[in-house]
Amino acid sequence: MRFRGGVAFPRELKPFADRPITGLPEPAEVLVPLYGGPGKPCRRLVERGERVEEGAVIGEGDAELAAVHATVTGTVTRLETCRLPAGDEWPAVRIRRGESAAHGQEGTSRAPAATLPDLACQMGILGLGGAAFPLHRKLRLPAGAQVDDVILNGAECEPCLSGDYRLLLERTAEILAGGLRILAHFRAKRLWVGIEQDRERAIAAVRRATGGGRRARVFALPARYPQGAEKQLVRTVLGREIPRGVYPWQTGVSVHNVGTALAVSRAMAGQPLLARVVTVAGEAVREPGNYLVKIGASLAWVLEQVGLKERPEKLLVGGPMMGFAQADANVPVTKGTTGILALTAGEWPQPTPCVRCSACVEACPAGLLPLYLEGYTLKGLFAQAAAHHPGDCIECGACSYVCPAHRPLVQSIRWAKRESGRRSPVA
Amino acid sequence: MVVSPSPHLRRGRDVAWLMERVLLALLPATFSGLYRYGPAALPVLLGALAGAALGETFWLVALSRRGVIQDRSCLVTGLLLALLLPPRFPWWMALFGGLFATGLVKGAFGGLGSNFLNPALSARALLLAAWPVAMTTWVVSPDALASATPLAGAFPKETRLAALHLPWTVLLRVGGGGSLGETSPLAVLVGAAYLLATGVIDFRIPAGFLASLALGGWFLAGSRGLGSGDPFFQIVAGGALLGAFFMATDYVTAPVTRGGRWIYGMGCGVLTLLIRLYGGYPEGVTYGVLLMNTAAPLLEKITRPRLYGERGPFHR
Ligand code: SF4
Ligand code: SF4
Repeated sequence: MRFRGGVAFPRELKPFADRPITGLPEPAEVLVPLYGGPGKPCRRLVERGERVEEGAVIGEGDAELAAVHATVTGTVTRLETCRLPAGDEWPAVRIRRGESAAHGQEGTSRAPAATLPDLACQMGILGLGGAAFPLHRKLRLPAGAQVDDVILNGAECEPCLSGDYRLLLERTAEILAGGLRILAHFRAKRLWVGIEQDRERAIAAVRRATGGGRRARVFALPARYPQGAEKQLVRTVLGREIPRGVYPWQTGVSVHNVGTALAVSRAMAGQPLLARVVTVAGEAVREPGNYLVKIGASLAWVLEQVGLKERPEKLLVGGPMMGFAQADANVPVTKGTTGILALTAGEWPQPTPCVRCSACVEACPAGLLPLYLEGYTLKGLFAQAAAHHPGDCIECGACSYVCPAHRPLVQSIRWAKRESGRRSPVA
Repeated sequence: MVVSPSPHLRRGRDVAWLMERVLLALLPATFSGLYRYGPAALPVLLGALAGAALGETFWLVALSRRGVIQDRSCLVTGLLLALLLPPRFPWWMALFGGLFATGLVKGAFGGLGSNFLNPALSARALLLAAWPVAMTTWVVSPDALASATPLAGAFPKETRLAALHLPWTVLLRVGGGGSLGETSPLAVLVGAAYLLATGVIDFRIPAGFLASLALGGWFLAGSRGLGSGDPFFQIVAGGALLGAFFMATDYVTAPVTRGGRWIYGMGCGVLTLLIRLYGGYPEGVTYGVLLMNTAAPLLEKITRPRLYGERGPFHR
C-alpha cells in the first residue's frame, strides 16, 4: 500500500548508479569524532602522542553508546573539538597515519561479544541510513516485546544518493546474512528487503540471492520520496501505520538500513565499522560516484580525491532534501554521512506570498497543513501553530520542494516545533 | 559557501508558471469568443485586463512591493472577468470591474493569497448590481437561435435557453451565447483538460461541482416532474464549465484539503442549480461560487487530513 503524500522526482535525480563502489586511498590524517550515539560523547581512551592500530577502540561509553575505533593506523596528534556535519561541536581525536606499531592494542584483542547487541556496540555500529542511531539500542527490547517483521531499508533515503543501491548490487549476500542475523536475534518471522521499483537490477539481484526463500523477501517500493523514511516504509511494506508517539518495535517491526545489515555481517567476521559508502556528487564534482571512505576523513580531502571542476557554491552532507549545508569543508565524514554534494547554485529564491495552492498539503506524508504551520509561526502565533501538530513533521522537505511560492516551510515548522516544546500548547 | 536550511532542491514551478498555464488554458475560450463576436468584443476584453492590471499596480506601487506583478495573477483575473461579461459590454464598465477586482477585492485584503472572495466573480457581481441592463444584454449566438432576440430580464438565461429546447449536444458545440467566454463549452473543456493534465488544478472541485449540478438538474429541473431533467443541459449551458474549472478552482479562495474540495465543489453545484431554478439572477455560478468561497475556511477545519498514525472515525 502506497504511503500518503510525497513527491516523485524526475529520473535525472538518480544518477551515478552504474558505477561500482570505489575505494578511496587511506587518508593521511583522520579526525574521528567520539560519537557513539546522540546525547553525550564517548569517553576517550587514548592520549596525545599514543600510537594506535587500525580498528583499536579509542572511545567507549556506557550502555547507550557504541564504541569508536581508530580508522587508520598511526599516531594521535591532537585531541580537539570538531564540528559535526549537523552543526554540533563534538570532541574528536586526530590521528596521523603512520607505520604499524609493534605491539597490538588492547582493544583489538578483546573477545568478540556473544550477543548481537553487544557485538554491535563493540564494533561501533550506528544506523548507516543517515540518522546514526546506535544499532544495539534498536536491538535491545524490553522483556516481553516481540518483533515479527524486520525490514531492510534499501530505498535510498534521498534523491541523488545511490549508495544503498550499489551495496545491494555488490554485497547482496552479506547484506542478507546481516539481515538474517538481525532476524534471528529478534526471533522474528519475516525479513523484508524494500527496494524502489525503478532499481530493477537490485531487485533482481536480491531475488536471486534469496532464491525465492520464505524467510527473506523483496518488496518493490514505489519510487517516491520519502519512501526511505521509517514510518513511510512500514506503511508501504506492512500496510499499517505506526501510531503517533509509539516506537516501531511496539508495533512489532524493526527497520534497518541495508548498509547497517552489511556492517552486522562484517562485525560477525570480527571487523569493526571503519568506513562507509558515500555518494559524492553535485555539478562541481569531476568524478561523481559512490566511494568507500574511512570515517574521519575530511570532506575537503574526499573532494580533493574525487576532483572538483569548480569551486562549489554550496556543500551538503546528506542528500538535497534533508542534508546539511556546510560552512567549510574541514568537517569529518561520519557514520551518518550518506552523501557529499558539491553544488554550484546555492541560493534559495526569494519567497513570495502563499497562494494556497495546496501543493504542500498534497505532498506532506505526515498529513499536516504546512501552509498554516508556517503562517501562524511567522506571525508569532505559536499556540495556533502548535494546534497544527508541528511535532509530527518528519522534516522531509517535500512541502518546501513543491511550493511554487518558495516558502521556507520546513524552516518555519522547525521553529514552531521548538516554540511548542517551550510553551504549553494552551498558553 | 552558502549555508541554508534544507531542503536544497526545488521543483521548477513558481507562481508565475502556474498563472501562465491558466492563461494558456483560457486561450481557446477567449479565441472562440473573439471569433464569434469579432472585433466588437475587444473593448470589453482589453478594458477588463487593463482595469485588473491597474488595480494590481496601484497596490504594488503604494506598498513598494516590486516584483510581485510578475506573477501574472492580475492578468488571469482580468481575463476571467472579461470572459464573464457580455461581449458588447461597455469597455469602461469592464475597466471599472477590473479595478474593483484587483484593487479592492484582492489588494485591499492583502493581495495575492489573502483575498477571501474570488476577485473576478466579485467584480461580476458588482457590475451586475450596478448596471443590470448592460450586464444582461446578451448577444445570442446566431447559430443557436434563428430569431436573434437579445435575452434580457430577470430570469436565468439557462431557463430561457431550456425553453427553446436545444439539445445539449448542439449547445456543447456552439454554447448558449451570452458571455464572451460561453461561446464554446468545447473550448473551455480543452483548456480544462490541459490544466488537469499539467496538475495545475485538482479534479475534485470540478468533479463535485459538475456531478452535483448534473444530478440536481436531472432530479429537479425537468418539465415533467422530478427526475425528468436533462443532466447535461445544466452543465453545458451558461457559465457552469467555466465556473467549475476556472472559477471554483481558484487556489486562493478554495479549501486546501481534499475532503474540503469535494464538499466545496458539490456546494458550488447545488447553489448554482438552486439559484438557476429558483433565484432571480441571470446566472447562478457567480453567487454559487462566491457563497462557497466564504465557507472555505470552515470546510478546511472540518476536513483536516488525518495525521500519519492517527486513528480517526474513518480509519482503523
Ligand atoms: S505549496 Fe506554498 S503556495 Fe502552495 S499552499 Fe503550500 S505554502 Fe502556499
Ligand atoms: S510538513 Fe514536514 S513532514 Fe510534511 S512535507 Fe513538510 S517537511 Fe515533510
